[in-house]
Amino acid sequence: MLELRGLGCEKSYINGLTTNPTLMKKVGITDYRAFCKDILKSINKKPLSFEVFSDDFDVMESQVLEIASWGGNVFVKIPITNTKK
Amino acid sequence: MKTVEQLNVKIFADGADKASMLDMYGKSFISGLTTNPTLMNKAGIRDYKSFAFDVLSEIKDKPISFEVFSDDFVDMERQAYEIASWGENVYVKLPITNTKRETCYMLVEKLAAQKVKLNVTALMTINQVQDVVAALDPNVPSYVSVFAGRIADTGRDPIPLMTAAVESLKASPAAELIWASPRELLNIFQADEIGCHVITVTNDILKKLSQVGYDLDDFSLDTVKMFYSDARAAGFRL
Repeated sequence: MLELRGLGCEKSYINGLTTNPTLMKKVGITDYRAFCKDILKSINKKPLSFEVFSDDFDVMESQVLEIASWGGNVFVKIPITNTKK
Repeated sequence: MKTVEQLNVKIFADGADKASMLDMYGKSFISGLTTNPTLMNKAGIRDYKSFAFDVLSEIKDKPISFEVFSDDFVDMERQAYEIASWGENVYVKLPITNTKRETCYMLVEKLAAQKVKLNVTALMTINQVQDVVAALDPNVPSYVSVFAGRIADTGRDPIPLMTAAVESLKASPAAELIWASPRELLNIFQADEIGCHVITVTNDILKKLSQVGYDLDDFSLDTVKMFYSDARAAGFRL
């Protein structure tokens, strides 16, 4: 994720960043909130999307509100359905 | 949408791992095999000839291409004859130029005149296609491999060039165009659409053949489930 931070900060042709739970798991992230807040310290001008990961729409809603509160440049990713379609 | 069985383009498997080459050889939808020195080096092969012999002891009835690896055309010629002698189904891959940008056309003419079946490789321009076609013997089976995926990696759409290459190859009826270095499964359908004869595909893309025509709502749900289970497996909390 250091590469991601570098991309977001330094490359003028990169206009925004996205991530998802699968990518985050792959790079070994275990503390979702700590990772996001850490990234947001360096990336606070370009749009950055973090995804909710609950399967229940009520819990999703509380996750959305928390994620959205992390920064003016944060977009909340919501999957088109939950796993129950 | 076509199924894999309905495609006219022949699918070749590109690789150098013996087990997966044999696995692919056994599949009815795989019509031939290709390899190259880069794939062979990656697979840890050190003895070129014994690897080729080993593979050829089991693959005798589908075309398979092995590449020369000298930079000197005289030595390349010698390698070409030796490789060609290994089997009836063997095609000799010849790079379009050596590393000094000297073109292989004279050698193509010489080898084609001796009925050596060639696979001229690493082409990226229509001029190269036309020059190779002019050097081939129209009656000797051969392949012309254009690296469509590498062209795409430069931000250029390879389809116009590949379409023009299909046209060019009509001058040499025994020659077939290979769409080499594909980057995604869609390329198989694009090659089919323009009448390209062959596409050579690595295992990572061949694995996706089971997804052809898959329902997109179902695929969407699979994706949602993947994110959900990865978040659970990672123990994410908010």
